[in-house]
Amino acid sequence: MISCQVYSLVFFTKNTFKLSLERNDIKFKSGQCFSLGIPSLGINREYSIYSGETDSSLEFLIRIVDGGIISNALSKLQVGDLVEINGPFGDFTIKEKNLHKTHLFVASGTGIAPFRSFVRSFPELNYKILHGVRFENELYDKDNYDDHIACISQPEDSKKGLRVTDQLNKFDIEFDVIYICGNQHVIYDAQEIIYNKYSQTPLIYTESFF
Amino acid sequence: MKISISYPPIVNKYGQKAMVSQNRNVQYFKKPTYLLPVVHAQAATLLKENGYQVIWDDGNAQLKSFKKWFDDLILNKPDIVVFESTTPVMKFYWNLIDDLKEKLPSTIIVLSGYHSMRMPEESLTSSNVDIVLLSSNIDFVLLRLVNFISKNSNWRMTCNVEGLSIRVRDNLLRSTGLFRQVEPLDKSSLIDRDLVQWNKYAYENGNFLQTPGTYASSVIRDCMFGKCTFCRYNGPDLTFSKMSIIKSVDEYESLINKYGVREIFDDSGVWYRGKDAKDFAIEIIKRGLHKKNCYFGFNTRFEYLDEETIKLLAKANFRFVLLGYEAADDDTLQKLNKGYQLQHVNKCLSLLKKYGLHPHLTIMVGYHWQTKEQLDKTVLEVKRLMYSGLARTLQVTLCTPLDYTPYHNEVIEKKLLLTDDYNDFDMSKLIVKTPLPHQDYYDAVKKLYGIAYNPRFIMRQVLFLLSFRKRDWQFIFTYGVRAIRRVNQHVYNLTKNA
Repeated sequence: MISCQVYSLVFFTKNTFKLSLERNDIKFKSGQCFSLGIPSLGINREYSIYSGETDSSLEFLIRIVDGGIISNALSKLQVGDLVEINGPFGDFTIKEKNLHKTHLFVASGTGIAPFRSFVRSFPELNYKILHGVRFENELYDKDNYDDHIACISQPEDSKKGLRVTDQLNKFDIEFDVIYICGNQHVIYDAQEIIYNKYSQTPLIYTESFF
Repeated sequence: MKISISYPPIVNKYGQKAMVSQNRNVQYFKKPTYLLPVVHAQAATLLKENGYQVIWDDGNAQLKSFKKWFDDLILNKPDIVVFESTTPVMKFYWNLIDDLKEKLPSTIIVLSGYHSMRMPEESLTSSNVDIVLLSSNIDFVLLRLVNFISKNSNWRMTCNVEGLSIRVRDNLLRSTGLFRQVEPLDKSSLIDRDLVQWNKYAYENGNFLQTPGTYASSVIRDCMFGKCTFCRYNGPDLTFSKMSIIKSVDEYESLINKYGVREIFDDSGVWYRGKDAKDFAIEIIKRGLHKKNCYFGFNTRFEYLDEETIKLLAKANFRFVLLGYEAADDDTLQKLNKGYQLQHVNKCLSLLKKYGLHPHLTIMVGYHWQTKEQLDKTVLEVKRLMYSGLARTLQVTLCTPLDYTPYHNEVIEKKLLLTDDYNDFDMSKLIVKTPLPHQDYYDAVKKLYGIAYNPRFIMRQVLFLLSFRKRDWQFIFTYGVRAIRRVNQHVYNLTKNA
């Protein structure tokens, strides 16, 4: 376990913020996760890394869960406070053998975190991101992506809402590798669409947030 | 179509039977311990619900000899037989499959389980098995497979159900690729208790504080953490999924009211945590199930439960809480990817103790890196936790690489394995090179189980059991006798080779 100081908290919405921590020479593969805990609390939770492998800080995209002990405690941290870090863990990473292939990233909500880590770590990657959110202000750091399609289910203007599954159905191109991350039900629905739509099933990797 | 989900009685040279144990690993025991194979039971239920004739054929729980079990299977002449594989019984299964194919050549034999799903070709070349399932979602894959076979006589060539390795003919094999779970776990079936003869598993299980007990249909398939290197619930081929609270509580309600169950254990790798755990407890209380004289239990991890949740769980009549402690040094925990810190163990156990829950620790010894200092520290720390009443019961196993988990692959890569005979992987002896003589680890096992005979521990245990709302002397006596019997058995098993 390593303790890292808080560099900053940046709130995107009332309930979602980016937590930046000192790097402390911690090595990880983009897309992996860490357990974050508050000293003295004795509880931790896993969060996917939001920053790239060579970024100077460790960043996490955190949604405050109603009644959630850790997410609420993290949201109240001040610059200089300590966070306990365990990890990295997990295999939800870019595979070297696939680097030259076309990638589709399907995210719901804060499930975009590992994908930002991917694109910051592999700037040459040939990818497209579908990001499903309820409101426009949940399109966290959308300018960070070269090829980003926002799927806003409850847009403020008169436009009709769009879900990632709607967009998936619209695609007339096929990708070699597909990563899906976020809400479990979005993962199921997306897989089903891909399964039915693709002439040859692509490589699919999933990471469920819970 | 008739499908038999079969567990043969497997007896070793000591006359012990192979029983599913910690982490669903197979260990040989003289005294019975019967754990309901939950996912296979759900598979049996799902097939039955879809109109197939299903035989639940657990030769162990049904107290059959091997001969009787084998003869019955031949007589039943099923169209499909499904087995569950794990490393220490692979050779047994390969021989059995070949014998069975001789007697029932047209029966399709399907091998499921974590070992064969990671090494499908090995089983297809070492035996005459027809199909190996490449998924832990046995229920969903099996239903699709059986649906396909029932409608397609040339299924060997044409079956496109994902997650299978199929023998087309002789040595010609084909894979349909990795299975991707599309169905939410809520679409799985709640176990048909009558079909699987639940009462045969209701008494001989050391983790039940009272009986009859049973296992719930797991709310989490595989593990929500899924990173521990030694555990089979780890790997890119697994897809974590979660059942809804209402569906699970519906099952609890039925188990209590219809079957008179007095203890329900959910053997999910890691049970609900946070809001889900609280909502589950609230639902149990709302339905009055906490007042039905039934205890509830589950597996969890250190640093997952906060005080408010523990308090609610206690109110809802939860008791047995199984925690993977593994070792008392942070270096080992880090190598195992346990994701928790020793410094937080006391706090978690203190809270569980404060609200009257029953923490059960699982510990392993004999990691390929474990030094004397690390081993001694584990023994000392576990003694402290047990004598102080912070933990109530424990289970110690020899760390055994199994089912091509990351730990298994690591010892293969580092050439630390002392045997390649799968029969040696039965957790009865250490099979990896270690810094200390193996005897030192066996001695540690004896010391840890010896805690059960310490007067200080016995006194604490009696006081704790008396603190239960229940004032049932028979319960306390029965639990005590069962506990001692199991301790003796574990000590015998783990040290008979010493």
